[in-house]
This record gives sequence, C-alpha cells and structure tokens, in this order.
Amino acid sequence: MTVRLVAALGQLVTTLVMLALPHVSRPDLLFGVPVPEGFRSTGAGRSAIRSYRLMIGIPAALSLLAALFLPNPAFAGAAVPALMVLGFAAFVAQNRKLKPFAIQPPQVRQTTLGPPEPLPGFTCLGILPLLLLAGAAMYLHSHWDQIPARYPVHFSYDGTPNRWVNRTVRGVYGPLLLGEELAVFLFGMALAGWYGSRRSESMRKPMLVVMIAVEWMIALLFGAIPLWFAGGIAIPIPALVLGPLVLLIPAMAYAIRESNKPRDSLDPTPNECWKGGIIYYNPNDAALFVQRRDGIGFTVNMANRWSWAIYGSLLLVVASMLVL
Amino acid sequence: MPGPVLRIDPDSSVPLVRQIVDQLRIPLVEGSLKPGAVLPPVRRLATDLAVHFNTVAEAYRQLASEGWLDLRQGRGATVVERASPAPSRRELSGYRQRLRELVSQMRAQGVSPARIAAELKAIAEGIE
Repeated sequence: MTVRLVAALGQLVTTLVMLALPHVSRPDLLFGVPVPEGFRSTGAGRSAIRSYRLMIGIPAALSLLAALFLPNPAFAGAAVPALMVLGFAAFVAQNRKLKPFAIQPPQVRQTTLGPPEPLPGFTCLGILPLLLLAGAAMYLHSHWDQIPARYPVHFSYDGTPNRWVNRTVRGVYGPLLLGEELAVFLFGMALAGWYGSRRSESMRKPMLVVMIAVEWMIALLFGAIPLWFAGGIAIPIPALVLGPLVLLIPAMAYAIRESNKPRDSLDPTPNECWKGGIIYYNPNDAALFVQRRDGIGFTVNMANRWSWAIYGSLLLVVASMLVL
Repeated sequence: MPGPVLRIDPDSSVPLVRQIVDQLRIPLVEGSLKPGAVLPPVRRLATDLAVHFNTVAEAYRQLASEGWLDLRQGRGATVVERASPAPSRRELSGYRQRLRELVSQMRAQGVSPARIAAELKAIAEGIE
C-alpha cells in the first residue's frame, strides 16, 4: 500500500506542476505565445487554459485512480513519464491554437558599450562542491580497509535493503564519480548561462544562484551516501533528506521572487524561431541561452553550435548514470 | 559607469551592420570612446544585440577600415588615434545632398529653419 501511495503522490505532484505551468510564465505569455495584456481573461485565453486543464486533468485523474487500486508497480513507474509527455503535448497543442493571436515582441535591441560585467563573487561557491566530493573520495581511500566487503546501497520503503554492492573501486567510488560529473556539468551550465545570455536579462543572476544551489544539493547527496553506506559514518535520515534542500529552497524562492518582479519587455526573440513555444532555433542570434517562453529561466538556442556541447555533456552524464 | 548606448532596430530599412557602424561612430567622433578604449568582444556584443557574430564582426571591420579601430587577434577591438582626413570635393557634395534631404524632411514636418540651424550648430559643436 505504501508503494501505491508514494506512486500516487508522485503523479499528483507531477500533475499539479503541469497544471500550474500556464500561471508561472510571464503575464504577457500564454503557452509560449506572446499575447496582449489581459488576453488570459478573454474567451480565447480562457478556452485555451480550460482545454489544457482537461487534456491533463482527465488522464491524470484516471491514472491516479489506477495507481491507487491497480496492483501493478510497472504501471506506477510509467505513469509519471507518460504524464510529462502528455503535458508537453497539451502545451504544444495550445501553443498552436493561440498562434493566430500572437503579437511580435518589440524587436528593438539595446546594450551599453561599458566594461565587461564581472562574474558575481558568490560564483566561487560553485568550486566547493567539487572539492567536497573529492574530499569524500580521499576519506574512503584512507579508510579502505574499514569498508565492509559487501554493503547495502538501496532500501525499500519499509527499510529493507534491496541492492548490495561489493567493495570494489567502481562500487565505492562510482557514486562519487557520478556526483562529481553532475557537479561539473551544473557548474559549467551555471557559467555558460552567465556568459551565454544577454546582459539585459534580469534572470541571469537568479539562474546562477539556482544552478550553484543544485550543484551543492547533488554534492551533499552524492557525497553523503557513500560516506554513510561504505564509510560507516552514521548520518541522521532527516539530515540526509533535508540537508541538500537547505540551499535549494531559498535559491528557488529567490528565483521565483525575481521572476515575479515587473520586468522589461519580452526578450527580442522572433516568434517564427520558436517551435511549440518550447524550442528556440535562431541561427541569426548569437545568444546560447535565451529567456524561455514556457516557464521561468533560460532555454538553449539550438542553432548555436555550443548547444551540441551541452547536449553531448548531458548524454555523457546519462550514460554515466547507467554505467556507474 | 555604463558606457555609450547602442540601439538597433531589425525592422528598419537600414541594414544592421550599417546601424551598428553609424551608432558606434558617434561616440568615436564625439570622443566618449577615447583611443585605447576596448570595445566589447564580438561574441558579447552580438549576444546582447541578438544578431549573428558576423554582423558585429563586419561592423568592426568597417570601422577598422575607416581608421577608428585596431583589430588584432586576441586583443579585441581597440580604439586608436585617428588623423583627421580632408574630405574631397565629391564627398562634401555628397554630404550636402544628404543634409538637404534631411533638412527638407524636417521642414516638411514643420520644423522652422531657425530651429534646424540651431540643432545643426549644437550637434556640430558638440562633436570634438
């Protein structure tokens, strides 16, 4: 029953996040389409939001009932990704529906010829998680003989171990290596976001803060687990679960607060360069990151050749997850 | 302290390269960008203006060919001391024609000759 409840909770959270999507984007955007002020309360605006809610709400409700009453764990595992794909499809469908109402954002661009903007001082905090993971690896190396020959690394909901690893280089250092890889990727993305976006973009600093906070979360999580399981350092469960969120929650709150502040006009990205309001492809724009139209933060300009480096790195991280 | 502002309009009939060149020339002529000043790298300026790298690179090349910038690999675009050239009779005639067009446009919009003269005087004297 616990498994079913957890699966249902996962589905519920996913559904609520997707239903909230039209309300977290800027008021001058609806399903990634730039719209005039007050468009949301017009017939067309309300109809699009209603259709979107129905497209997600009905399958989500059925899926929730199935998760609670069907004794099939495979279904529960597939429901969340399926809901996300459905949400994506519903968003794109409404984007297409609203395209005739789109207004072109102001295309006049302005910048100053002043000295280059320095990276904020707090960016150096992004180096510490890398050192933290390296420190954990050094600790395990120096206590190698004390690591049990075989130890649990995964537990079921009732606390019974259900996956074990042997004391091998891969078993002990694998999670740390994966954590290091993720941390390097996130720090790289934080720097790329700063240098690859427009200086006029007000979300530049909040995004840097969030990326560094996520990097800390990963480092604390991937550093603590091997120390606990292999190193035998008893870490209280609440600290293990809540510790990594200590930095992330304020960082997210800061980003949301900044995104809700009155902002300048929409990023001068031409409507025709947006596919479904989600993918941006503009070979005539040198920016690597632009203001996203489907939520808060940035998205990649897929016409920029550096975007392939990002997707390549991401692929490498995913491959490492499968291997390590 | 923020430097001179650069503003471009892709919907204008004036090509983007020309808009960038014309606007960069103003602080260069007025002296707010002095010799030794380094302009933003091509990638930075192109990103901020949401244009292709080549657009900014071409604008910098044109200004370099006019003698305003030094474009050395790895040093960026540096403003250099430029000797005042003597315009030819043909060039002067071209400027006069452009001024006549502009003045006619202003007169057509109802700007008085005295106001036009005052504006031209203020602009000409404002430039070093």
